[in-house]
Amino acid sequence: MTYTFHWEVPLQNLPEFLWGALATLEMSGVACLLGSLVAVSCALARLSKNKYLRRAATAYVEIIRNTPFIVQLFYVYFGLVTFGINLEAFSVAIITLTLNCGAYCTEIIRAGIQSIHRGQTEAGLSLGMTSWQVFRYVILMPTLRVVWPPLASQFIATMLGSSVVSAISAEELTYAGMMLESRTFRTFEIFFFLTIVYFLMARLFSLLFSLTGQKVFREAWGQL
Amino acid sequence: MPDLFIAFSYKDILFLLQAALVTIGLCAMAFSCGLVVALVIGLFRTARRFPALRWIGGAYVEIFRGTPLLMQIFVAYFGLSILGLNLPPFVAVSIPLILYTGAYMGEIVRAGVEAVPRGQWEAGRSLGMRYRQLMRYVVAPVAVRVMIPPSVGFLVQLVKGTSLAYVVGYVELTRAGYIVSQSTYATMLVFTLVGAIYFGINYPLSLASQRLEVRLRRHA
Amino acid sequence: MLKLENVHKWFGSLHVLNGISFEVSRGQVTVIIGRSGSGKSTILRCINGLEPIQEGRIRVDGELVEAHSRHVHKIREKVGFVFQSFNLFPYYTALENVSLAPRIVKGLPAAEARTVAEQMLARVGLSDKLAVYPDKLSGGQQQRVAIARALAMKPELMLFDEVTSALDPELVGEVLKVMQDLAEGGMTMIVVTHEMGFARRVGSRVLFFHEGQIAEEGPPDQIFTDPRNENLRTFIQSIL
Repeated sequence: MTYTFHWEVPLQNLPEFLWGALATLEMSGVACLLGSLVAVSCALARLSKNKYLRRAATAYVEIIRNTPFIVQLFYVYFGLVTFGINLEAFSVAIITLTLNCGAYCTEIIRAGIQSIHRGQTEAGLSLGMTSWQVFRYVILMPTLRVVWPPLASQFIATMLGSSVVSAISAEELTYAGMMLESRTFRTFEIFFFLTIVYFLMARLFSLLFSLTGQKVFREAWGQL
Repeated sequence: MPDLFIAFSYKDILFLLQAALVTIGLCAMAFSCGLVVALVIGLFRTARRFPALRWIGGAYVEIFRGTPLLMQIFVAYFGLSILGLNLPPFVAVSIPLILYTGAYMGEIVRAGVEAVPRGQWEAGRSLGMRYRQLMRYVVAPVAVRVMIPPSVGFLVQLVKGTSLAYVVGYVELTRAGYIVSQSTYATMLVFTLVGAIYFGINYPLSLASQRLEVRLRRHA
Repeated sequence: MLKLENVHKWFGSLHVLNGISFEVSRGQVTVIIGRSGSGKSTILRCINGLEPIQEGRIRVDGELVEAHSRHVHKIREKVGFVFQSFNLFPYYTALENVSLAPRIVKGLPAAEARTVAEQMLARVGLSDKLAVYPDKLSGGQQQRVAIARALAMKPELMLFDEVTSALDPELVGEVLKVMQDLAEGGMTMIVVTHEMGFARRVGSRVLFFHEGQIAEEGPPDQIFTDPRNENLRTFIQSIL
């Protein structure tokens, strides 16, 4: 093996990577937040009595879940350009990540809502609770408790998947790595380092989600 | 109004379909070899009396599920060339996909083995069976049936994963789409087609996985 | 043929078996009674090596039973075990369930294993259910298949762990009848059960387990009509 490793290359460029990591977190965070809102709406749409709402929501979810993220990314990016809208890559990334995260979270939330037995709603009403009270205590909290672990997993997956937006030159962690790579050609060291960074970020967030869940729902989950 | 039909011809469609075959080929390679890795990892993770093996399996799964697939492809692809191995691109791209499959399918294998009720293990052991016999005659019939729906679900994930080979320049369906769109400027049409092909491959798999899961639950 | 010497077992800090010693001779039917948690199921599982013991010795025909050793499966070829929850293999028919172990553990050729299985299933009265899967059998039928499965290995000792406790009352009788036939045929058996009628009719002797120890032992008539141990008296009164 005639290759000499230059591990100082990624280590000397930590500030760039720090900015990249922050951008990744910002991007993923916004996407997960907005995605959750999309997901709640679509979950309710999938459970509604309106046939067209159901079908539209199902179509959205199935299309996103059965096509690769990178294709979705290109589609949105070039699609916007074709219609004369010139957004910067960062925004396109957030839009696509939101749509992507939203579809997966829709399924999670839908399953959570459906796991609450209808009998419990009836029990609540029979005890004299108002509809709002039933929603808040019988449906909302139990649903949140059920969906929290898989939702947290999905958020982490979205953060890891955000590395793909580098393909449209959106400025985040992976793109920072690519820029450094084109200057120094130390591909292996840079991306090995970035892999570790992503791994640590994912672990950190898994811990945070776990602890938050424990505090709010008072349940002991293992690693999320 | 975007003009969708500049220079786009049936030759381009053919090119896309060929690339689709490449995608399927990558999946087949990754899944078949990945399954072997998965069996090893899954059995490691369920080794009740060897904590070291359980730890190794656990670490492997955490690494490959806790890092972006894109990074895995980069590191493996460039790592292989550093090691001096001059592998054909198909193999070089398959290797990270195999390891990725090994981690996700490994979890599925573990769940399959753990789905076998303890009582059946004990019944087998009481009849004098040893580990290999237990695995083959008691565990396998139950575990394999439990593993099938999530495995089909994973295939969908794998098909989508192959699209990331794009980033190392490998020509599979997504890069083929990119190439065609650059040469014909019919970007939206091309990517709609590409998306449709992926959908055509994955949607039946998704449906099958859901149906199989319902059937499994009914039988249990 | 079975000898237990001063067996002790702890589950964590719970001293579940506290100095158990007894012997079983060939042809003897030993019935073990006692409250839940008294250690009666645990001792059975220790005898065939499903659970390890921390102190003491268990010998089957002179050979030591060591739960996690590589030789324990040899002991299990001689000792049959029937579980409370049957534990039949769900994706094999009754015949396949019974013929599997003789074929793969004893190495019998397939045809011979099949014959043995058919004989055993006939013995438990299920010749007409050979090709049926467990989920289509009643609880009593499943348990009889489980007994046939253990018998197919031609064991010298049969262990029964509360085998009727999970059955609906009307199905208990068919299983007890099979066990009685076995006993009358000379099989050495240890039966953990709550079925006192069975204990009196079929048992050669009864062991009363209380808090991990053998509090009293004797022939069934004496145990049930004239119990000497205080706890035993309370126990018998509570089940009558």
